[in-house]
Amino acid sequence: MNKRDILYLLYKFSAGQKQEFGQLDATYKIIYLFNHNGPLETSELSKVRREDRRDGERLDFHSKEHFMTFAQSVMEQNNYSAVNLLTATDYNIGIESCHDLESLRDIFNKYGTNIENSRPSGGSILGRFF
Amino acid sequence: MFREEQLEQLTTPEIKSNDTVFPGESFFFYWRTSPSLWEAKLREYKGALPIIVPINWSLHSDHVDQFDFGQNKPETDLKRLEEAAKAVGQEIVFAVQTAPAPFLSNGGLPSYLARNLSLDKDGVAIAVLDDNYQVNRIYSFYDPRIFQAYRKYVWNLGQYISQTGISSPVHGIECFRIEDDHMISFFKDHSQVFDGGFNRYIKQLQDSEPDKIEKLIDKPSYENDLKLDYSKLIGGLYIEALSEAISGNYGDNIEVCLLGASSGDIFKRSNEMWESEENYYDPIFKSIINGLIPCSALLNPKLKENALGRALKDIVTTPLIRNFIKNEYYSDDSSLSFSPLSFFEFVDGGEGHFSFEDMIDNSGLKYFFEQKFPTAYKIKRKFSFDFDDLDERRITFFFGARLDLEKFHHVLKLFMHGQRIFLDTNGLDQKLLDKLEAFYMENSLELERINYISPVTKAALGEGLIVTYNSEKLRGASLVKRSGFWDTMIDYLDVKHPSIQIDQGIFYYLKTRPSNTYELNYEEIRRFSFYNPTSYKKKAHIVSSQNFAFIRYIDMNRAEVNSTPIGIDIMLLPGGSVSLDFGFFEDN
Repeated sequence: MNKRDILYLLYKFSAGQKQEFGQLDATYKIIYLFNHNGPLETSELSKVRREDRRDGERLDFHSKEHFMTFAQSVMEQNNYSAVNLLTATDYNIGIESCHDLESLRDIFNKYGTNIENSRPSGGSILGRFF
Repeated sequence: MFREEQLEQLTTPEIKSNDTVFPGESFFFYWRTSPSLWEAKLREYKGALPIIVPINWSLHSDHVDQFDFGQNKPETDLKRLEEAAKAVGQEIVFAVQTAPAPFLSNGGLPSYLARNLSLDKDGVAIAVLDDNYQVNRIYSFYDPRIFQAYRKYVWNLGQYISQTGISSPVHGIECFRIEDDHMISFFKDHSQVFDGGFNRYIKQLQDSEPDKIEKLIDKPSYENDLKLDYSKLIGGLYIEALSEAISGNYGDNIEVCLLGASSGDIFKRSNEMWESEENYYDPIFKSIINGLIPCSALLNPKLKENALGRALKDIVTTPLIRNFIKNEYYSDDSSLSFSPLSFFEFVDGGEGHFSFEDMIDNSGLKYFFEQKFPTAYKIKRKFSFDFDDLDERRITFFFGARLDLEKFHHVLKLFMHGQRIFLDTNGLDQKLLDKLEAFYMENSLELERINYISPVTKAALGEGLIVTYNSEKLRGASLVKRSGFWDTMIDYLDVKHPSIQIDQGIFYYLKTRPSNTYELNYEEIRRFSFYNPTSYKKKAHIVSSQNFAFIRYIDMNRAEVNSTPIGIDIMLLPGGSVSLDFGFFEDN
């Protein structure tokens, strides 16, 4: 299977209270996860083993590491060419100057972080030879 | 991911179609065409009445404290607009926003006021795509500067209306969207502007109502109730400012649910692969169930060319708009017109708090009704009843957690008036539970008590029926068991309605009207309208029922109807739709 389009991910970061030992109780909550065809299918998410989940259904993560691992896993397991990560704060800045669809698209390109999928594309056997 | 075709700019002036000036149902956007064409456009209009004319605040106020109502720009002359409507015999009502109006740029705010973005519960800025795929941002109405400016705006508007002798009603208008099945007003905001105002409100409560602050300290979740109180307080100020300014012409708020305005819709609608008319049927039905007028003003006209457009015309009719506007201006001239068929009513004494819909979800009611009676129930947010005009067929659900002594007395009064009532005792105050038992005894009511997942008590008095249950007990049972519980309960009430079987992807809507002098064999006429927005051929079947006689089919588009001994078979081609009328008669 050739690599597919980009996976877009809008998330919210909340810095919470300081816990014992000076650790910060942070939350990364995924708000929207979509590709060119629409919101991600549940089957695409179920391929990924999720760790550090606060809630059974919600896509919340304790640490940036777990959040990034999850985003990358969804990208790699479902063969996306890249994942574009955008925080709600950056989206809110971007939307201020947005008037049409082109400028809406630009928010992700301008303010989002693009992570390329470095894993080799899982093409068909014939594809590997030709 | 985004539409490309919208980026093209036309170099020659475009003759705007009626879709542009009438972008959704009966809404007329007067600023989208020249005043010289108002009369012609209004003459051509054949849809539901009254025509709702939202007043575009930013059009009438380019600069701070400057207002134009026909003095400089002809397109701001609302008197001329009213005269144009009168000249062609069209009935209009004006609508002044009392909350952000997402079909307008900046939610209707003049650009000099567009400062603080309104945020949703996730902290994401609220923005929508309009019918031309332009982005409209929404700004917080909790900003005190906006309220001050609003007061000036409506005061000037009121002066203009009284000086020019505009006689059409002027309503407030509040727009809603659907988020996770909840109706959310665009007035709701989670931004720092809201938080700032709320903190000032809390400080004020410390002096005026310290008991509330003590309760907040004891129970932090009480903050949500106080936020709701604060939100209602500020919302009330806007409505009060408008009603005072308009005085004689003022009508109540019109509540509208905008299709395609949910938070995620801005992404969904940005891609033609996602944008589909199938997405909008459930929101239309949810809107009606919640007593809001569905409005497609944000949807591109192309989406409404097939079944969706026909569904909107069938559903958003003159009686529905008049009924939802509920105003003394409108006499009851629609008694022989179709209105939404609704057997059940869920009464929310809390006026739209989230926990209400969670309550009906937890008890299995929501699942049951979505499966068995998908559009035949409604949610009543305000706790008020007209005892002189009760529908004897109606079955009403009350929830103990929402009842105080006064409301509880209303429930008993409804029962005494012959209404059929379900009462969830979960959360009902012990004193009220005791009162209920005393009421049974005082009236010597014979009680039937059973234990079926939840303890159930049934008491009858004449036509009146009151059934109590406890949703907390139901909550522990599986969804199938909960649904079975409601199947048994509703079955007992013998609601007369034919069973409908549909393929996945088909939507249907039910309406009713009294029979006329040519239909004396029937007590009422029920209309079943089916729509197939999919790209596949689909089927539906109405099972024969002894109290219903098939009369006719109408408005057939790409559909076939066959009557068989076991019922009516309906075949719908892609984009097809059809309506069928049945006469209902009681058993002899």
